[in-house]
Amino acid sequence: MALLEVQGVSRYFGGLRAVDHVDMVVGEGELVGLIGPNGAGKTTLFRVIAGVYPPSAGQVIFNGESVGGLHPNRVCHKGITSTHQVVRPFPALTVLENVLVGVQYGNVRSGDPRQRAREVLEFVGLAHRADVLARNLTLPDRKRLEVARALGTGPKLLLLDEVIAGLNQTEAARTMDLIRSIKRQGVTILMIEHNMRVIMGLSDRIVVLHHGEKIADAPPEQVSRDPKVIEAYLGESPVSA
Amino acid sequence: MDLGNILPVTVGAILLAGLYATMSYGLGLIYGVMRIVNLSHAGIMMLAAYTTLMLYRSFGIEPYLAPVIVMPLFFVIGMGFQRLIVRRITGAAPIVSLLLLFSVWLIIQNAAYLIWSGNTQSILRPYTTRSFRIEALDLTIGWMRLGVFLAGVVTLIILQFFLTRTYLGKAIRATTQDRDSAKLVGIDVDRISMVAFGIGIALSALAGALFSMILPFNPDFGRVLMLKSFAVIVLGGLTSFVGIAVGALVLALAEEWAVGVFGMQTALKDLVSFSALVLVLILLPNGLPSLLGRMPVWRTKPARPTTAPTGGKAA
Repeated sequence: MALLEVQGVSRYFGGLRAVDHVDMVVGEGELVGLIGPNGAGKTTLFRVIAGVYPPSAGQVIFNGESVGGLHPNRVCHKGITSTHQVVRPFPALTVLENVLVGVQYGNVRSGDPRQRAREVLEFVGLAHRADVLARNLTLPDRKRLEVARALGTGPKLLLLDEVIAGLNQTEAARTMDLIRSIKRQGVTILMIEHNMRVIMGLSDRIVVLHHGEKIADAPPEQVSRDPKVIEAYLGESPVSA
Repeated sequence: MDLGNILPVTVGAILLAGLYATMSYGLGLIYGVMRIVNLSHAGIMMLAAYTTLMLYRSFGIEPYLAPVIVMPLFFVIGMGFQRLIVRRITGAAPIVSLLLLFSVWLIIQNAAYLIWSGNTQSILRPYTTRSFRIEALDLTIGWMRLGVFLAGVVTLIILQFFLTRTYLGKAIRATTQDRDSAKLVGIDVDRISMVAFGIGIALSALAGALFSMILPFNPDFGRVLMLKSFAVIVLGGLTSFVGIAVGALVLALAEEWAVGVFGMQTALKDLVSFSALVLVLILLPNGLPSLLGRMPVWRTKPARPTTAPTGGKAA
């Protein structure tokens, strides 16, 4: 069953069509990768889904309900949360408090929030840093915290914007494991990532954007052979005689 | 120099600091959450002073009890004002909110002239002028001054508890630190802004109600005090209530010592605060807390403590 349906969504900035009439579906429990060259409109599409920008046209249907144009906090309460491309934890709150805010104001309204926040930290491997101020974390830890805070809100759909970019091999592998275990918990994931090895290894299906338009939507192995995708990334291929 | 005065002058300065802090919390909170400088602060203090006077004259309510009515009343007024007017200019250039709130102050001020005329008022009750002496230290302290100081301390403790221990307080801190992230974790930042503005106005009103018992006032009341509040929050680093309290203490000590110990003319007292404001803006744009960061002692061994007071893995 489709958890998220993006129907003909466009988002313009003045004359720029950042996202141009995109249709896509994300099924319950699926992990879908969103790729495309720089400026393809990936992050803009994320922001439209998360409610940061209202769509200029089209519909975002989540769980059978239209969420396009709702404020981000309302969208969060419906069960969609996203991480920032550039990590932005609350710098002067502790790691635990960062997650706690998500738990208290997000989608979960049962159980002891403190307990739940600790569980989330345990899950992402940040429990030993619970009482450190977020501004004092290393970059990999900050990226984890960004994910933890999003998880704290109890999302059904998690939008991950380049949570692996900028990490070294070891950290990247750890984060890939983390994303797999989030998926095993039943959370549906839509993720942007530039690293092809990562996105090919994780995704059930890949959607490719180019100049704001969707140019491919298929399983990883098929996408990697798609001439249109190769062209978008490498430029027009020389005509072979 | 008159060192014999140093104790009474210092005690006086500490009491004055309580007052300065109380009048600055509201300004600091509103700036923190909304990045708006509330130029109507003086008007709100003046209005609260008159409200206290009216409550006493019309209903016989003792002025020291007035905050119990004044604060909730102004909390509601503040929320309504934010909802109806200030919200419309969120995200606009800073000059827009400055002009808007400055105009609001002028409107309140002129309305007050119409209603209460320009005559200077003061609230005199038996307790407003009473004082006590500590013979051993050769000190005379006004009960009202002490009361206002204590009100400032209690307010600080309540605010600190509220911000760190309650859901709403955490949401206010989160919104202050990163508005966009706050939205993504489900915080309704519009509502938080409204509540924070309400609390900020209620705190300004508390200051006004307290002032009405120790200072004479007219519709122009609060002008200089508001400017001093700016000095206090800039000194305090614009970030925390504890910072504001420290800023208030530094400012009060500087003023009182300049006059009482270094023998400056009383008329020049305000020169001290505004010179302090200018100096801090130029030399320490992040306020006194940034001094801590500059101390070499804290810099020499950054190896571990930069990250974790609780230990954790080595970087």
